[in-house]
Amino acid sequence: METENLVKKAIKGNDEAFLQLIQTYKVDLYKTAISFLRNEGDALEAIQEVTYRAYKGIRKLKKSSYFKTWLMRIMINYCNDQLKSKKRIVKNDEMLNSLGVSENHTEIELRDAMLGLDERSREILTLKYFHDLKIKDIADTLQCPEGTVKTWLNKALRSLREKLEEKGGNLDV
Amino acid sequence: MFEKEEEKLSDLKKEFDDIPISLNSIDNAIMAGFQKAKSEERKYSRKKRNIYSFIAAALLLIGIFSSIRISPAFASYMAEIPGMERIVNMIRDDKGRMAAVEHKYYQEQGASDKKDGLKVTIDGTISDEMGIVLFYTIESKEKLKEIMFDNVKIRAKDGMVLDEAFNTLGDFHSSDKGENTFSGEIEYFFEVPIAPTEYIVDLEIKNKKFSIPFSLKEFKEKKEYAVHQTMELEGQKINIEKVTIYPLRAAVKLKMDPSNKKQILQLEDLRIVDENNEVWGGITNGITASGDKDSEQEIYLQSNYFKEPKELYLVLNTAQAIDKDNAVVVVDTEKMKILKQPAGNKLSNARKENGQLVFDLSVKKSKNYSVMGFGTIRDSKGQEIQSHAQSMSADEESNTKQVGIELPIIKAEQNPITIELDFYPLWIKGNEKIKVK
Repeated sequence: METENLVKKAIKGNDEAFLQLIQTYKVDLYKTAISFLRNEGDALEAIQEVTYRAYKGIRKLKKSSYFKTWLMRIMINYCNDQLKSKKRIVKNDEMLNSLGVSENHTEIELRDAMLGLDERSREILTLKYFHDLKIKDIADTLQCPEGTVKTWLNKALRSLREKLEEKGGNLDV
Repeated sequence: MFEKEEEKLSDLKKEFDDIPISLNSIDNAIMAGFQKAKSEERKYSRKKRNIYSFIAAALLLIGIFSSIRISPAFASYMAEIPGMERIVNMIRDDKGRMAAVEHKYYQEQGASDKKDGLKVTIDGTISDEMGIVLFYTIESKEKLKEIMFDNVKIRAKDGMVLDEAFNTLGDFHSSDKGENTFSGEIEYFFEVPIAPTEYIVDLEIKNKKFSIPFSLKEFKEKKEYAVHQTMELEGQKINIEKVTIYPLRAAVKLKMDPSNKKQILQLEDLRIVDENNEVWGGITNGITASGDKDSEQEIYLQSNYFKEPKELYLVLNTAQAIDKDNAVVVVDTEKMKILKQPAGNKLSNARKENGQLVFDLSVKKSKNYSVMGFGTIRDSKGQEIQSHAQSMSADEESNTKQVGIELPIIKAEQNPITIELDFYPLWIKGNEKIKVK
């Protein structure tokens, strides 16, 4: 409830409330950005841009209860645009360096597979598995029926499987 | 069916959860994005003369308005005028303007100008002798993600010079999806009364110029009440000279008593109350005050013009105030030392972050907003230092906020710098109610 009040204030133009909200979700935002863009610099730039876009757009937010999903969508849209515009193929070692954690092959494969998906699928998987949103919330966010979300989710998982199998096949050779 | 994939995804999530992150750099990124948005906002809400406070005061007044109910008659009137619902949504927080619409004081215009796939329409106006509020719609052939006016000028068709005091040039419109239609309002207020005649508004968007004529019908006459009474909060006196009720807003003319020991910064809850205890508070969006805090000033409140109350009172319970002999913040930006500040030492830890001079502001956890704002900044020789941005951030858990001020590079000989305060979270309280009518 506290959050919803803040959102209402933020919509009315209260800067402090707005900043508090961004603070609340900054870690989520950062992780989303990292999961798409894979390096800290780009993720921070994403945060800056998303804060900017959210501030400018907040008056357009219709239902205060959807603030988080709305914010995540801005981030995902931004990341999708970035990936598209840079048409970037991220090399595995670059990613490893940037994150500074050792990873096993499966995770690298999975990330590559995620990036190989179409936008919609990537968005749905991110919302569902990284932000633990329920089908209903995803439907609200994307403004479509729950049935459609289920279909998309199914399709996304299927394409993910296909991508993984492609990769797996390559490794075996 | 997809257990394996789901499991992998959840492993990946765990991995993301473990990524080391620098909260500091994230905060910096947030502030940078926020500043960028704010500085754009500033471009189109410009003040002219010595107007020291506007817009921000809106924050302080939330919660004292009763909700506005719409009568069936009003609802049907709304239905008659195309686009009225949009307009009502814009003025919903202003009781005075809602009442003006309800009393059919809203004037339909419907004039427009087109250029290269863009069309600007002035849907309607509410105006009085001191101000004009224009409601506009921008239509575009292409879907636009963002649009705003670069310039808005109003002139009288007969060439009469308008002494404009201040204006808000419409909203910054943005949409992630892209839209074809955007609506908003433009406010113009004048120093010298204007006449009900024909006007032309010259607008500029995306380097295209639009000219739209409109005419204003006879204005309703203002109602003036000489007051000449004093309000007193903890010994600090505020001399109320006059209350003028216009259709668009009420103006309270007042002067802080020169013998006051404290500098009164903001009259946070000044309001008009009628015989039935109905309240008209501050302006929630737009220009809230004008004048100079040391001499005469005018505070604007929502107008009760169309309610025609029998009795009228001015009520005040709190004001932001600081000791006059300690009413500034003096900082040595070389040593990053605060040399002087208002009582209570609420500011600490002066430092430089992202080109800003940042302080920690300690605040009590309370439901009150602890707004803080800086005024004019001067160097050691009294020269004004320009600053284009201020910031404020807080985290929910702590009792500290960060307040920042953008500064150019300060040379050693300019130190220390003196910062005036327009807002500061120190209050004086009282229970003042004076009769206006």
